[in-house]
Amino acid sequence: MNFASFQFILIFAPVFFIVWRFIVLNTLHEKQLITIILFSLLFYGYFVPSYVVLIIGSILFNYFISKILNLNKPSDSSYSRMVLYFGVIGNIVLLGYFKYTNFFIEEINILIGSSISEKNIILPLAISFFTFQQIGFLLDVYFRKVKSFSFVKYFAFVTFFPQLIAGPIIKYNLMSNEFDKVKVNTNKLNFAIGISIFIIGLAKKVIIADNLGFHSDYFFDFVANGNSLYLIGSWVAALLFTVQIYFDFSGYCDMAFGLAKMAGITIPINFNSPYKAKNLIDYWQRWHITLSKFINEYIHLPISISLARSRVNIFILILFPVIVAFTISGIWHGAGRTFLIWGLMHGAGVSFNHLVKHFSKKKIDGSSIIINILKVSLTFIFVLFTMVMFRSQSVADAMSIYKSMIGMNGISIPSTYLQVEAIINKFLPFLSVHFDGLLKVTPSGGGNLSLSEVLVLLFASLIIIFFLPNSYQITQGFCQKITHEKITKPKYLLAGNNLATLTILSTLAVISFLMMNTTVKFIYFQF
Amino acid sequence: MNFSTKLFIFIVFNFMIILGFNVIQDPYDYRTQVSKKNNLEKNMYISKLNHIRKNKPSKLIMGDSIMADGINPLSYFGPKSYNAAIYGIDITETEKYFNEITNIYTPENILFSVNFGQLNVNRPAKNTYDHFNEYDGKIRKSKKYLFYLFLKNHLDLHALKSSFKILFGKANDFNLHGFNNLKNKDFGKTPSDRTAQCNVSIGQLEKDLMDFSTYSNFEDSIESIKTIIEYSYLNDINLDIIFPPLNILAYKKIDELNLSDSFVRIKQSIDSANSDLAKIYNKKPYKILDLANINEITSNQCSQSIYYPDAMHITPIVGNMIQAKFKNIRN
Repeated sequence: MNFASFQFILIFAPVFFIVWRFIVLNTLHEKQLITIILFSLLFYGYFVPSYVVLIIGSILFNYFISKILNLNKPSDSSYSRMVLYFGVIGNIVLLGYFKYTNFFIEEINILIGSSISEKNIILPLAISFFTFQQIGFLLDVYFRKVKSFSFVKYFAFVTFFPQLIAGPIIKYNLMSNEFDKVKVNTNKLNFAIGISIFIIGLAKKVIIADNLGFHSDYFFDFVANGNSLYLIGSWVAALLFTVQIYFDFSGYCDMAFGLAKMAGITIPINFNSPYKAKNLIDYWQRWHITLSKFINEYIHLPISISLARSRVNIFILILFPVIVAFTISGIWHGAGRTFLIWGLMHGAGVSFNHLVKHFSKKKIDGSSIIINILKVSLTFIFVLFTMVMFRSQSVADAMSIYKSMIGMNGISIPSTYLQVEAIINKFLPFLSVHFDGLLKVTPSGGGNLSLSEVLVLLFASLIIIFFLPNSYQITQGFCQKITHEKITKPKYLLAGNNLATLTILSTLAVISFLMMNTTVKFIYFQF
Repeated sequence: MNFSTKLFIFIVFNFMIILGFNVIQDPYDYRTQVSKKNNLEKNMYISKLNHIRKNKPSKLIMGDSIMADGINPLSYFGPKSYNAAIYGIDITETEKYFNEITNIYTPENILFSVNFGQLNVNRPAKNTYDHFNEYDGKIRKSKKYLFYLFLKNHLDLHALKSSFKILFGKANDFNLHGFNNLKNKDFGKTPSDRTAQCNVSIGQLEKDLMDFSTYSNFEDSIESIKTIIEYSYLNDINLDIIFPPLNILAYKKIDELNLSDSFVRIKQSIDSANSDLAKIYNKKPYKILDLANINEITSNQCSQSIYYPDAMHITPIVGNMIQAKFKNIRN
């Protein structure tokens, strides 16, 4: 079930919260968790009912493994390690089968020229998320970070519907604490904060992301059909998707956080104004925060520690773990060369950041506004370039857009400057400059695109991204501590129990409702 | 009262305001027009049929999108007229549609357009109208469904936009006369945009006709046209038949597809059927205006013509010219 759908907003959520309030007030802890499990399975099963069996199977497998790990004393470390390997590999095999089988078949066919037919496998929704969450749990049990757990609580921890489909990837201890406190935390204040953040998220998704997506699809499909874009078109396309995915994922994270908060559960924030990041390291501490933490804790850090013990060269010590971590991050996002290259691009960027940080003797003055603007702009442009690879259907498509972005597929300039054409084409013939009008974005015009509408939407979106506080900051008007993480309180646009907040939120809710199109799923649902 | 309750009341209040505003303004002339962006043709069929059912306009325009966008019924027929043309409809579907209308009442005048593209009953461009009976039946049978449609269409952003347009006097004829007037924004702004639009429409025509090569493929459609003409003679409906003027690019494409001869034969068949039926029923033959050839309208260069937004559709200027030409024929 999609959060931004009539079924969810009009039926599922109201029924859940009515039942939840009754259960929380009148029953014991176990029944509360069972309520979460039942609603979550209903929520998950709504997409493809048969995959409920898969998620239950995965939960049983991991619970069984974790029980064995928990029963063994530290002295049984070699046995425990074997059990852990078995559990982790079991999860990876499950994920690999559903997500990467066809990718590998395709690659093998290309490499050795074979013609192995692809399997008819439908990727189960959320498999990457619940698999990673459970691998993290096994590791935490192995390292004694999790010492006691019950089956019902574990089941609820994995399936809790606000975070099930697209994260955040949560740690067991945090969720366990939250489950224990629901009776206290299911209150009017948390409900008010939750519903406010949910509405902001819904508006981000429906009003901004889906509208941008409609236009961005036009460009990327245009390229996928073998056409090439002009200079302006390629930049518009890249910008459209970069902003679309921002609002799509940010919208989802807000809605997930809001729903959990309404139920009295505070989940970690997963998205914290990433395009305001001043460098790529900072960016990955703001975008998909819980995945970054997971990869850092379970992949990057162990490799780094192991290399540090081996006293390897500093370049290898910095580069190798980062590249490995981002390669895995890339593949995690999708089975395809584009995702792999996207991961490597970010790996290279973050490595470069680390190297600069390590070797720069003089620290650049961070308080200068111009320097900060420059840092944010450079980071944003880098992310924008990588997003082209992330969104393109093939590496060839991405390369075509990159070529367009540097003017190699033609530039369109206002026809009033016609006299310049001969001069440019004489000295720089490879640019193939055309004088068809400033806003011509593709060789066949703009299709059904209303470019002025797109530019207005993009401009408004960029203002929101760079100049407005985020949802968690805005809702700090209700109370100081909304998240587990430290969030700076903004000086303006604070929500509260007042007429302005009620008017703005109700208007956003109504407009989102009127614009809602149930067919547009969240981008992160495909991972 | 806590914040969430107040917010809920605000949301409901906002919805009520929008619903009330849209009901008062009735942006799509709801009981007659249920226009939705994603399934325009389907809803156009339902809504226009509903309008006809309710208002029984004495003068109708019938045809496909060429007529729907190109003829203003008010300037063509005057009051009590309605543009009943439907996007993408083919001739056999038009016959069903005609039967639906004439089951309700008998119009006095019909401007009936026969576009070459409409004759291919399997044209890829069209949406099938077969399911409309079922859909329309649902509406007639189920009050709950009707109420659902009512809410769905009034709690809609497009409806809200249109309501504001009506409020500020900027509504077009669509909600009143079934006429989707072309706006300046529908035309390409630059010559290259216009050229692209012309080329796209020719591509569409090619798709519509690509699996048709012989006259026999069109026989079903010809039979449908004969049925409509015969019914009109029988029931004293004044029928004006027109082969609408496509742009010269379209005729070049038809020629390229070796369909020109078929086209001429089709026109001759309709003409002779019209004459034969007039004799049978002892009536004056209906006037047939054939503009589907190379003439002063069609030979205009598509990308620069005020007659064409693209090669397959006409502007209301041509609608007025058609009216003048029919007048000349009659005189």
